[in-house]
Amino acid sequence: MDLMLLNSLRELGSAHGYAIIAALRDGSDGVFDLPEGTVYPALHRLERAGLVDSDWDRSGPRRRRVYRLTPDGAAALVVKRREWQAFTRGMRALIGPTSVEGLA
Amino acid sequence: MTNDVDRYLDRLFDRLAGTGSAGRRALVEVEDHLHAAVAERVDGGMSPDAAEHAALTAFGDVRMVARKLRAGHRRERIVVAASGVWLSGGLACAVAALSFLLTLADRWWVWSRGPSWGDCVGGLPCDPAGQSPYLLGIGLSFAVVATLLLVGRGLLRRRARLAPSGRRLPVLLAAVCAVLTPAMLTSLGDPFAVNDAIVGAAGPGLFLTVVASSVTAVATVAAVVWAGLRHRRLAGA
Repeated sequence: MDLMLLNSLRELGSAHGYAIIAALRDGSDGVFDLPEGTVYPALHRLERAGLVDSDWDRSGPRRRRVYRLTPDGAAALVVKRREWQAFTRGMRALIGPTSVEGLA
Repeated sequence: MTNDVDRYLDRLFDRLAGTGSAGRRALVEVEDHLHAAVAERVDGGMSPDAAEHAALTAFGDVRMVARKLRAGHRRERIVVAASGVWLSGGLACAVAALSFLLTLADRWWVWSRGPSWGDCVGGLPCDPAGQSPYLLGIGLSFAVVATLLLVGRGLLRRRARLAPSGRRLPVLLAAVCAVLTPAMLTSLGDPFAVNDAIVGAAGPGLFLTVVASSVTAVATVAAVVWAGLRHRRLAGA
């Protein structure tokens, strides 16, 4: 979840929760259609950890909390991406090609 | 519109009771999210009722959302409290260190003026310089502990993003110091007993508690200024 949120914020620049969730859903072709209510506690946790920063945007009819990546968040994203790449490399080496044909 | 959404928000509000500004902020975010989700679905051709139902289903059960938000809030409160206790411990040791070392300075000053000066009069047992090793040992010990606590906390805050102290901590410290000042000055009615217990009955007494009460008086003013600055900063945020 943290990797997905940090990566979305890197792509979006700054965004409110709804836009982040939409980006996650659309960017994953609907695979990551999470319960949307779980994203806000995760964003708050990342903010407490100093990985994202937020502010109220009062330019629209309703005020919205807008999130953005901090320098620490950008550094954490690099580390998490490396970890994820190592994990997927290991899994690919372990289970072979991702095709499921012929497994049944 | 938004009967179901309003009901959902009411239930979430009830379940976030006691979470303060963090809960209010979460409610505003959830409300904004649900209104945007309903509007998007209505624009996509859904009826308002169906759009509300779909938006709430996608958002998740209110109990689950409230539980996750509360869990984060609880963790934050514990970390902030621990951070405040850490800071208070460091400051208390710094106040104690300053009191002992200033008392030591006073003892040396009295000693340098000769035995007939100041409090060493009239054949009373008086050995200002003899109290020095005792005062110096305790004062330096407190100073070392205060430095370790305050510098360690500062480093952790910068490097590991340790939580800041609680919003009310400066006011609390000001109140504690304000109570301590007269308590130290009078030593709860028996200043000689407290001084004698620390610097020994051979000393003329009084000096440590008088110095300590001066230090806590200065600490009171400093805490009030800190509280004012913090209040102004938070009001401007």
